[in-house]
Amino acid sequence: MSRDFPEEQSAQRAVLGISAQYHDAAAALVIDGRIVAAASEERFTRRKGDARIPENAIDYVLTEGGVSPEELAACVFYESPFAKFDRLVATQTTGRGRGLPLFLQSLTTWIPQKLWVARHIGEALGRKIPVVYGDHHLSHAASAFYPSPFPSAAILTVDGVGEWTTTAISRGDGNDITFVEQVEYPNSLGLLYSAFTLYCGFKINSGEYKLMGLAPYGTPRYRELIETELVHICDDGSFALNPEHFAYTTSARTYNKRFEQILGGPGRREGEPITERHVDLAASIQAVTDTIMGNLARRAVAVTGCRDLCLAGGVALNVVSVGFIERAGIADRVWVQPAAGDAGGSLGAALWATHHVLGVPRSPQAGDAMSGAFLGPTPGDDDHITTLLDAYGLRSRRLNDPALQEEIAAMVAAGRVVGVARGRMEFGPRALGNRSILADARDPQMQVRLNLKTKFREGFRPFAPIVLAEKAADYFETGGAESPYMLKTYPVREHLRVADPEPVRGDVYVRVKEQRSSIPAVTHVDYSARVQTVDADRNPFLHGVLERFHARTGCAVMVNTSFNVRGEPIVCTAEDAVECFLRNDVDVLVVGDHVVERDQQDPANLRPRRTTTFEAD
Amino acid sequence: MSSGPDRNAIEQTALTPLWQQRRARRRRRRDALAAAANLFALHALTLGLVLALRHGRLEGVPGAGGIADVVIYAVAGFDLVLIWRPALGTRIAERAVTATGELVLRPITYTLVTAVWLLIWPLGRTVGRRGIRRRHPHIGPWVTGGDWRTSTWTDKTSEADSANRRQGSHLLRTLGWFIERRSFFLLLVVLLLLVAVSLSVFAQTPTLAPFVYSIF
Repeated sequence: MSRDFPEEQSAQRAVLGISAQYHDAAAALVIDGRIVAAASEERFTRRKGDARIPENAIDYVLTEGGVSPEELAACVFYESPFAKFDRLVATQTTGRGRGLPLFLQSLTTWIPQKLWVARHIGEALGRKIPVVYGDHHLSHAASAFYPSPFPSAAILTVDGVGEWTTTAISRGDGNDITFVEQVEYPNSLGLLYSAFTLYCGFKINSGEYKLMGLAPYGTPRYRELIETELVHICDDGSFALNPEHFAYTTSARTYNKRFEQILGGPGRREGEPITERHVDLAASIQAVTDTIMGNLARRAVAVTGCRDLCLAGGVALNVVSVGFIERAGIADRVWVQPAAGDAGGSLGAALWATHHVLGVPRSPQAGDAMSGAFLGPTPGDDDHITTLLDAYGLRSRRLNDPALQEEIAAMVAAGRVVGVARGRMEFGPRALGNRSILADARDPQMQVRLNLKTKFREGFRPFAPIVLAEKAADYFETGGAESPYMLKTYPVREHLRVADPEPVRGDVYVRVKEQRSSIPAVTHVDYSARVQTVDADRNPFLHGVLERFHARTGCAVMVNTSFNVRGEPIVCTAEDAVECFLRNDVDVLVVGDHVVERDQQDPANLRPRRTTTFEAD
Repeated sequence: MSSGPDRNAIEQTALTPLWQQRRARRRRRRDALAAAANLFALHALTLGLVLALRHGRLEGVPGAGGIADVVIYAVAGFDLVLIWRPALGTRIAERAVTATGELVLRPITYTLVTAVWLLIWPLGRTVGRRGIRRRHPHIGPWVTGGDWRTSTWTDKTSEADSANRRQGSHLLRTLGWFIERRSFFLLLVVLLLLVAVSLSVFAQTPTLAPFVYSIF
């Protein structure tokens, strides 16, 4: 055992996990192997992807767990800054001096700040505390394996880069996780996908979802070119990028001029129109990603000898690839960590220290141990919400749970858009019903309305359905699998589809308006849907809403999208929800047990008070 | 003796073709930039390593927000001046020498340090390349070229497990971390730092102080 863990353990073994410094800072608290609380810092600071030391999130998780910093058995940072600095020095100073400017630029943040993360964490905790450094991909692997329902499993973690590792295959067994094989920087599937994200005019670290949403509009006609010139896919499941076309090892640019020449010209700039070429590129890189992820999953199953597979890392949020792995039958069961990005690293680090180092026995639970990912704070108690609504001058009605479920179902059935902020906030990038905007999936105009008027984002982006778990197979080809965290895509059932209209190549904004099924608002152009199955165990309230909606309309599907506007983190507190309600055109706000209807309000009170503006992502 | 313009220099300049003058100016600017960039890297890296060695890797760093940071930014700031305004940097150095009577900022000092740095840099880079290629074989095509269409699997233990195995003081653990990863080129920089620190310490002792002037 490491000297940084106390020899004498207290009766309660509380471990704090922290991720920060690159993007998506977060904190998680695990007590005796139970995940007590986890939250991203961006939700508190209202800065998308906030990477600073998560002081607010740390404060929240410790308060939620009733633990003071003195009572912590360990505090774990999710990666090793020294190992990361080693990569920085090694890659930026050994390449004929080309990386020197980037190296000097990096030093300005690394030397005064990033190397001394332990000190900054100590400041956030208000006391000097030994901080243990984890391993980036081990944290991801731990976040995927320990909460999963599997006693042993193959673990595949894929992202941009951690310390050196970009892809890792591990084997999880009981309390232990063992690395089996890794692919190291600069060969990175995440960075390859990011290069195309940037080339197609979207921002890295936030635009990957958009590229994924764009892919079904195109045909993968660049696939062969990519596999010939940019990435070599090996027979053993690994992959190698062509160094001649990427610049990220020695400069702030992701790709170079040769990359642009190969793909037929300069990349799209933000704001420029999306052409046929861009959608075909998106389709091509998605096809390549699916192939590589499929190969990696096959390799993981083969070298570990386990038929159950856990996934984490930023690339595991590529729901199309995850759906591809599941449908290909590569593993018997697939479980994806809902906070698969770096925020989830905080949870993984805490779980690794708890089970692997402190030796707290792990007991896999049916379903999983994530409590539906509802690990964040509530919007506030009833008194707080009442006072807040009074302060804003908003008229509201207070209802009990059954009445509230009936009210929401009725309003959605009537075509109204309902914003919901109640219960504990979700951990991870998806809103799973407690910080969500709900709408009618049967309305053909709903996708355009929600994108342009409610969320103020690109019109081509698809929306995800929530469906009663017991009715999911009636609407989607799930093969009996559950998808409680909206991390898998499934095709819409044939009998719900309408004949494919004449495709309009290139213009995504025209194609998005085509009606493709009887639930058009959640059916993408390729008849796929990013499904969230809702069961009574994980989210009884939302399950009740869907049951009532089904009884009323005969349809067990609704639109579920995150409660925020473009560039804004998902709402956290009741005040965030009210402010967001005042900024967009959501018809009804449900905050706690209170219902606020827009058309019942004095127009003078429908103005936001915060002056914060959110940078478009 | 008159301190007017050097007629020989003027005539020589007038006789040199304009394109050669421009090329010479460009070369001088480039050399100054390269030297200053090297200096900046040296200062930043060595001071960073001092902090790393002093404070270890698992606990807070009480002193890093104080004098150490001030020194880093002062040195780095001066190097930036040298990069963008070499003439101004030199004038500041000369004035500092005149004002304080110290010799640490004399341009010749920087030239000597740069020379040492320029000697160490390629050596460190060569050694470093070998070490990195041994530790991370698949970076090879990105650093020195070669066939990139190969399998990229490696089998290593995690950083966390190897960190857990190391025992001893923070200094020893950090050095162990360097050695475990064969980062010997970083140790070269540490060596240079030790030489510089030794010089500055011994320069104040009566035995060696008279000889220090001859070094600079």
